[in-house]
Amino acid sequence: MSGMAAVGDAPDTSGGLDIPDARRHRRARPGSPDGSEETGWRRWRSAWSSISVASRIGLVITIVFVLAAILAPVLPLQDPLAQRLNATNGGPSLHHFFGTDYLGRDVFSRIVYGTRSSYEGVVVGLAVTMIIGIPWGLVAGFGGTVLDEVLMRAADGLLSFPAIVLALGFISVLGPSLYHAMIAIGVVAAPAVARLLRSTVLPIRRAEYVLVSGALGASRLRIVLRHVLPNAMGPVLVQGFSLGSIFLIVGAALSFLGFGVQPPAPSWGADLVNAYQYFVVNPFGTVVPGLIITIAAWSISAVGDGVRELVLLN
Amino acid sequence: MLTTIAKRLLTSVITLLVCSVLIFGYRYLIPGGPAADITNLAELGTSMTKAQAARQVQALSVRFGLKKPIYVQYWNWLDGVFHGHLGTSFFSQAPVTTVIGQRMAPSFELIIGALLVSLLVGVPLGMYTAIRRDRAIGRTLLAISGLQISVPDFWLATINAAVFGLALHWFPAVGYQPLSAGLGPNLHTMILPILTLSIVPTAFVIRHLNNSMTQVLRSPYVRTCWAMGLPSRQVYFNCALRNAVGPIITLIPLLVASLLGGTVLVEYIFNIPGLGTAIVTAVENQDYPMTQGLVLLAGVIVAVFNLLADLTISVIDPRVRKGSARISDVGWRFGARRAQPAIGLAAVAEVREPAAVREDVV
Repeated sequence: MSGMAAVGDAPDTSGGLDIPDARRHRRARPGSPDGSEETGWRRWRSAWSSISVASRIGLVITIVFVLAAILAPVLPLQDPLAQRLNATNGGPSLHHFFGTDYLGRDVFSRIVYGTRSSYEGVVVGLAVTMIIGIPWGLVAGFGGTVLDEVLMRAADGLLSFPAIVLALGFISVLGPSLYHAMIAIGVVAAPAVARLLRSTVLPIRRAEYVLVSGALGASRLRIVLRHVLPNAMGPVLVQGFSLGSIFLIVGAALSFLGFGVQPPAPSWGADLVNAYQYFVVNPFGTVVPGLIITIAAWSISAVGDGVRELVLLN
Repeated sequence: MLTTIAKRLLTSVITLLVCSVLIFGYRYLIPGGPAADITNLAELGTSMTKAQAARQVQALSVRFGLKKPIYVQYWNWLDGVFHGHLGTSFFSQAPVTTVIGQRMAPSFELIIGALLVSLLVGVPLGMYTAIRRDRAIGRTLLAISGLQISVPDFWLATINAAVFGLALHWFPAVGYQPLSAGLGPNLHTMILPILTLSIVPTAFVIRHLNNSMTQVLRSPYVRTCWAMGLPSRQVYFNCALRNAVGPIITLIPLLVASLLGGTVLVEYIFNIPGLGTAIVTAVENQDYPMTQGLVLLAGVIVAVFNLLADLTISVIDPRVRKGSARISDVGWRFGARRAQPAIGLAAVAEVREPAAVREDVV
């Protein structure tokens, strides 16, 4: 019978040691001999308590919006596309929290569904920016002088354009859609990441640990990926949040002009321009989408401020 | 100083060449290349067979020189640009330069007007908030300017047009009267767009001047001015403002870039026939010679303003004028200046980046 029990239990390899404690000791980092290094939940708690109130509010709002974006199809919402032509341009009521638009569609439900395209756009834009900007900055910072000069002049060239104008140029070639709009914005913003990363890489390049690993025979690629990049990512991470909040606004602006999300799909920017046509009948409709864009963009940048505080602390 | 200026000019030329390569290159992003795109457009009205379309692509490729090596094509295009040939619009068949010429006046009026408003309002307010930085009034004004930056400008424009145009009827919500119709009617249609466009730049000017002025007011030489018993007006204007105004000069090209982006949205909302609406229509029609020309124009304008700002610095800053420092050394450039994209809209993080600002203001 004892053999049967052993199947269910973990084999005893601790040799009399108390396993949970042993694990904790193994995971403990150097510098905390008692093994009480903050991990998991406690680490999050200490991060939470060291950021400002504004950043906390921003974080909560961002989490709520992202959850709304993910859960929109399963939430008990009205159909964002269902038209009720006998109830157009309605003010806020218990049935329609934010009123109805010019086709009688429920504005609240359209706002909630609009979070999807807005945050999707931010993610696409950021992915493009990072994929282009990080190698660009690394090569400029770690390559030779000539390469550095060429890459940075190219960055200057791209950055001297008004972003929205250059994005419109790209869209005129690629055709209007949310993805094209956000890819264009991502490309336009990439040199900013490249510049920042280059300026953080330059001092790290001469740091002792980089020299040491070079002396130990590590390849250039290994030095860049294992030692330089992780130490240079802090500022880029912070900038990612400011860019995210800018992308949200620019994405909304491009939808506003009709080059982002295509109707009838719900989007904050396009809904704003539609509501504007009926401002005299229903002024509330113009206020809501703009306010939501403002809150969402502010929240992302507030989270970024919090991340900066944490990066500076570490 | 001459070598400084020569070096700076060279930088501008290189930057513009990089821009031109980018602008020339983007037509090759079209699936199938430029000729296929023109054929697609031509095909819309007619019923062409596949073979005819293929022959059409061939013919057009030869006609537009698309069979030549790409550097020859680039050189021909650049040569055309220098001679003022930006191609013809696919849509209206008019030369791009003609269209730009027709559309330039309202946009320039908007941009120059908004720039003037933002400087005339922003500089006194920036000074005032710096002088009164410990009082409630200074902090309130600064907080309001912070809000102005984080609110999307196209929403502000919509609300302005709706409230003052559609609801109150103080100004027309849409429409445009050219300057040739008289200054009165012109201003009546333009004042609301100009004020709308100037909101975000004004906030930028306030925050940047506040930042530099606050630092200057804490400096030893301003303390010396006070100790010499100078009247406060002289301390603020002669000692402090003169030294604090540098960042505003380097901010101007950034503001111009921001305004160029802003006019796109403002002209769209107020329905003003300027360059902004031209680019929106061109994008709607996939008229890329037109967008190419307009994007190039925007790049050239910003590059020229960048150059002017740097030349102004090299003239008015004695360290550069006497050759003891380079433009990039004098600390009037904000770190955030070049590193901030998407300035066409509210650049939320621009002024909130204290680390970047501090390292560059000496």
